[in-house]
Amino acid sequence: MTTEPGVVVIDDDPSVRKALDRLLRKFGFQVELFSSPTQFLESRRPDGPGCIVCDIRFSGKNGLDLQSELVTVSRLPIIFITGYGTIPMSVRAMKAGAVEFLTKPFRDQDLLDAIALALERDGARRSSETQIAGLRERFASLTARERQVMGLVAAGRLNKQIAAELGVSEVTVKIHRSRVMHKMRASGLAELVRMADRLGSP
Amino acid sequence: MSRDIEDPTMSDERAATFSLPQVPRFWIARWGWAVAFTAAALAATFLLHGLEIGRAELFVFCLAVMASVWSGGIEAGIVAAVLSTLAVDYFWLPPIYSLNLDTELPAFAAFVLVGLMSLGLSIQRLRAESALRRERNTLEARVRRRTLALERANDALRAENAERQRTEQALSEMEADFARVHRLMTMSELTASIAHEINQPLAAIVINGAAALRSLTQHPPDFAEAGEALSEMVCDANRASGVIERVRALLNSDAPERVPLDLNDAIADVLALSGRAIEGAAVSVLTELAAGLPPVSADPVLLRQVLMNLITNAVEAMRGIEGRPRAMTMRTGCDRRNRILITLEDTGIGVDAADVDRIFDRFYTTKAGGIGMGLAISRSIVEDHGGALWASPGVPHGMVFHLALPLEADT
Repeated sequence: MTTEPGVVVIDDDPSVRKALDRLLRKFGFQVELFSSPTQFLESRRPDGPGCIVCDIRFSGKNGLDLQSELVTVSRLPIIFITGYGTIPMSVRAMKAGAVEFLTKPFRDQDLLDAIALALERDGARRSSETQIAGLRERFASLTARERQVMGLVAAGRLNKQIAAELGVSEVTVKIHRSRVMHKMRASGLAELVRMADRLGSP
Repeated sequence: MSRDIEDPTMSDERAATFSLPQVPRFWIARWGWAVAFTAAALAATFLLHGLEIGRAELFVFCLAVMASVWSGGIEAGIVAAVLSTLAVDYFWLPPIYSLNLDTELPAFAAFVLVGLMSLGLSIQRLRAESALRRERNTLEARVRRRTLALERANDALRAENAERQRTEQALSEMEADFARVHRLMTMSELTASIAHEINQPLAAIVINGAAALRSLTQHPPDFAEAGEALSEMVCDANRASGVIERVRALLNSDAPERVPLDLNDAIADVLALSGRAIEGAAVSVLTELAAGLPPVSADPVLLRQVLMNLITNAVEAMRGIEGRPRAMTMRTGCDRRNRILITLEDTGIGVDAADVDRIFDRFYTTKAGGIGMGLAISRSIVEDHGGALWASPGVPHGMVFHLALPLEADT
């Protein structure tokens, strides 16, 4: 896992590819070059943080058609660049979640700004994914009874109600509850509810 | 309409039935004529009796029989004949005031014979006349029917003609729309591919430039990297100009054809081709073509296209002009520099004097559906032929286009 942010450049034009490689390396990015989206998808995709800079018009498969495929496979944010952009094309790209849509020739600063934004998004996604992974891990350490109690607490039930529902004493519920708070490392009821929420809708 | 034509016999019979309308239909009336005429004849014989003309007076009854046939038909004639016979026998043949016939049988027989003859003649005459009348009526009815049928066929033809004209008009409008859309699509395709082809090297140049700047401004500067970027920029710039070169080569791929061309003939051809558009806009065309014009050396297709374009523009400019004649005048002749000159005047909306030269610019248009390429292309075609195309404002309205082409001998 590399720590330097990586930029995947997909463009069918060798000079554009080479120029982007030179420029982005100058700004300290790890750059990987591909001549087509298909070539990128076939390659071992980078696990590290990064984003994709992709030309939209390729002979054969259309860049926009590949966008959804790129998103599902790599989950990296995408910046589209095109030699001849139309408004419908850019609308479609942005709606599908592209970070930016740049028309060649673009200012280098515009591309660098877009890459910065894309990396920020990628970082946010990664940290939230890491958090969720930690939560899942902690949740997995709960016993079946503790999970039940956590669900009911998160649903807003009182200890008395939970005890009645599970057919145990209120004291037992209190013990389960404090174990859940400890194992999930929740500082209070509000955080536990949030955790349950994130676990329920990953 | 069609039934009348297919089944004339039925109508003939119908016509015959109504051929004797003047004959009274009821027997009382017919017999009335007979009684009246016989009575009149009887009265006349009494009057004639005083003239001492002998039995001749009895022939008045023959007149009564004839008159009855005329007025009341055959039946009335027979009735009149019988009544007359009885009246003669009763009043005039001895013994008088009785129907007995003693001594005067030969005279009576002669009278009856003459009566029957006049009856027969009258009947024959009547029949001949009614037959004639019937024929005439039938003929008239036929003529009427045929005239009606002809009129209807004429109307149908006229309606069909109008319908066809409408369809043709709609069709030609549709064709024009198609052509325009096709042109625009082709242009936009071409533009997209040219833009893509040129923007690729431009993008590479801009990116390499930024990288080179970065290499030179960093500490310490990386001259080797900057040099590489710069040499690639040169390559990409050459590549961009190569794209433009290729597009030019593509557009001029066919070497221009040059054949002797009679401009008067070309004008006549194009006017014939534009006939529909000219009629559609109700434009009158006046041509003053110089006779014996020497030929020019030209590509006939391209030059016709130029003429067509000028004529179409003129017609378009006059469409919707009201309150003055919509007229287009085309003239040919030679100018002072021994070139053939075509002028085309219209009385259309015209262009401001300040904009007269702008109309030849690409993408300059005053037409709602235009793309502003027609005159630009026309001018470049004419200039390729070594000629010139320019415009001046018309007096008092419209525009005048001037097209000068060198003679074949001079090219």
